[in-house]
Amino acid sequence: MATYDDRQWILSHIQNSYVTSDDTGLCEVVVQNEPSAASVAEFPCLADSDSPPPHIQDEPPPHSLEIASDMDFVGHRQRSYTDQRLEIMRKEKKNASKIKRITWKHNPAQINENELNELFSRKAVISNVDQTDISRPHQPPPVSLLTRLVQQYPEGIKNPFIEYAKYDGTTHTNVQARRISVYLLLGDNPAPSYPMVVSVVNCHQARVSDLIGLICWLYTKENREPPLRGLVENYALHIAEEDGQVDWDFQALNNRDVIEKFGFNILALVEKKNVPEVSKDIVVTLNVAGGAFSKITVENYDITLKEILSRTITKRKDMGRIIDAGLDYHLERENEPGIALDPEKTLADVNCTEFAVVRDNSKRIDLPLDPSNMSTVEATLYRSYKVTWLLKLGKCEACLGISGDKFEIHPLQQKMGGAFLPLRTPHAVTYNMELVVDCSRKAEKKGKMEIQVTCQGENRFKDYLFECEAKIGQEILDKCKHIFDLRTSTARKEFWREKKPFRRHNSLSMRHRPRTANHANEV
Amino acid sequence: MSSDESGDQVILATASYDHNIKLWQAHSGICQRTLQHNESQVNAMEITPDRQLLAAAGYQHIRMYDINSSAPNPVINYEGVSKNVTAVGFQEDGKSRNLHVSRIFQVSAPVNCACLHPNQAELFVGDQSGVIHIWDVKTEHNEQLIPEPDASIQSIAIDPEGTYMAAVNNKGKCYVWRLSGGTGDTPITLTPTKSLLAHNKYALKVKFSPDSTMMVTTSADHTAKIWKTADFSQMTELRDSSQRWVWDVAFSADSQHVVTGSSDNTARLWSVETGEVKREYSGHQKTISAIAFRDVLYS
Repeated sequence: MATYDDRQWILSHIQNSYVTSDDTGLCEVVVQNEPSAASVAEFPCLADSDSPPPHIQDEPPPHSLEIASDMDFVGHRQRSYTDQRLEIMRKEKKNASKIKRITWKHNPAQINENELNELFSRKAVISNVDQTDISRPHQPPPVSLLTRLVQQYPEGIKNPFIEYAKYDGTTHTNVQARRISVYLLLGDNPAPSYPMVVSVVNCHQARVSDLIGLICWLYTKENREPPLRGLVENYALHIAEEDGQVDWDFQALNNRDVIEKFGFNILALVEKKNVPEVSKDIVVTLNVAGGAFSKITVENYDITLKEILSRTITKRKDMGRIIDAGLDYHLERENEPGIALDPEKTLADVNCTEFAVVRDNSKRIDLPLDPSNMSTVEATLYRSYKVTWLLKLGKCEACLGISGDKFEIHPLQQKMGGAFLPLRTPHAVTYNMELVVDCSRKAEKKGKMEIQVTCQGENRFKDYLFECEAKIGQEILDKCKHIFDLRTSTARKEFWREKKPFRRHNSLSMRHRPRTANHANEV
Repeated sequence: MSSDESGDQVILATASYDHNIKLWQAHSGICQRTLQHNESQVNAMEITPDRQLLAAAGYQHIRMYDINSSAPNPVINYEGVSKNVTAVGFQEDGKSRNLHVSRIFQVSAPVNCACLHPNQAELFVGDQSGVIHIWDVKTEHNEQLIPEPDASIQSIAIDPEGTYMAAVNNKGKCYVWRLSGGTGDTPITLTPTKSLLAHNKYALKVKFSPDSTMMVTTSADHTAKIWKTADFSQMTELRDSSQRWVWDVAFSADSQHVVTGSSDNTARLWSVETGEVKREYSGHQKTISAIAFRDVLYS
């Protein structure tokens, strides 16, 4: 090579190679940045008279320390841009060869009269009016195929999976699609022999539930048998082997995850065994501290725990007050005390509908449930009881909350139907325990007990009637008795003074009490 | 309907700035196929009278796609035009011949639209300077009409019976002429009939219904309006809260439905009578700039 004659070049090359291969960084100290012809002269052996003439000024310097060689050729070398571009061009060329190209050329030749007449002569205009008037005077106006089809399917195609059709890769071209083979384990076909190939687009957005929807959409579109039962929620995607064997060691893919997250291209669609009830509303039970609970209905499993909590708080004034005071709540699984759940998770993620609402920095205390030996200390702890509130014009489900200082009645959401529904749900009622003057058994039959609780209202005593299981009733009576014993109150004294002629020492026994002027039954 | 012969099938194609053309099952709103229209938007689309090919006019090209194959690429590419092709249409019998007959009609301003008279001989061309040119293709004789100077003509339409010609401009105005003559050797005469402020913004398209009883105009004011040709009074307004500029419109064969394509990436099927949206066609990523629609009429 000619350049080997150039000592300057060789020196420069050695320097350059040294710099680019030096990992220690020592080169920066050793090598001068701009070796000149003078530096060559320092090595007398190299300085030779027949050295080629010095480089012309406008040429770039013979070396550049900026050039860094790529020392680590590990694995594949990336295909160059040119290479990729060339392949695209090759493909385009191949496609283009299928396209007939017609280029506009100006044709200066005169066209003869015959051709002109044939091509551009005026034609008769067909008038619709004349036709309808003459040939078909009394026929209804014609109908088009589109109109027929639109009328035939007034609501469009009633396929519940149509919303997932947009993920179908076969209807897109410029978008990158991913092909996933899905074995369908539906109905009585435990081992399908061949998979359904699904092409999915928008993998970075589409979730597993969308993929299930797309599979269902393609399945129903092809009118496959057996027909699908239920909606997307009834199916789960599992990882499968190439021969269609489901890998049961792994859990089903989480419905909320995006498809991009998974590298598996062979999956199996499996019908869920214990499908949650196909009811539109999902009832979530939230047990509040002490035993009171709220039941709220949510529309779907995609609701976040945060939202459930905030709905509960808006429903429960007592919690609202605590929130206002600057404290916050979190949710725990009912059966896992002490483990706070992430509020951003959805109901589907936690797969549970019974929660405990726990104040931050608080702990749940598991209350002893044996009522027979309820201690006085336990009696003052908050407990809630599910009872039926007997009103004058009907009854409703309610939750009694009794603690050492409060007596609460929370009407629960009404179940539809039933003959004795009140016209509207009564308001929740809260009394200070001091104002609760009496709690007595009114009747007991067939395992049910009727309890009457008397409270002092603004200017009169009010009676509240409840019906509940005898066991719960007994517990309520015991609890109240304990609390009454523990805490005296003026209102109670006044009540008993007023009732003196009819006073029974055992308030828990059956009794009949006539009304007084300032005593009314709560409606 | 996909199994049906192309002859008795409803064809609905929408073209979008996303460089795709989509073919839809019109009554269900399902996208059946997507065609590629690389490197250019589509300015206008038309289906050949024999329903075999779809012509898409874009920048420097008219591309023809085979409607009945599954290939996403065009089969014929007409080229040699240096700028955008803004209008495309076919003669009614759509004869394709090997004759190389060319006709060029030179206009001093950019051509926005063109419309062939039903007599298949006169071409009406609207340009950006506000001139409507009436060009007899055979004799190359031409006349000019200027309804409103310097108001760009956006679209021209002639009803299938050849009785009216309508043109809309960028001021939202719609001008209507009554046509007579144009058969045999009698020249076409135009009588100004009506000028109406159809929209308060840019008007984009005007079309007549196949039964010639209605006219539809679309606009940048997010609506399309249907007018009666009897007295050019407004009949229905097609408005939807999410609809944006309405770029193109087409009537069904029985004049009972209208399809529109809009900047909100959605095409809609409307009932002419009630103005309700019957179907929506969504799937495009960008503005729908052109639609082509062929229905089948049963008598």
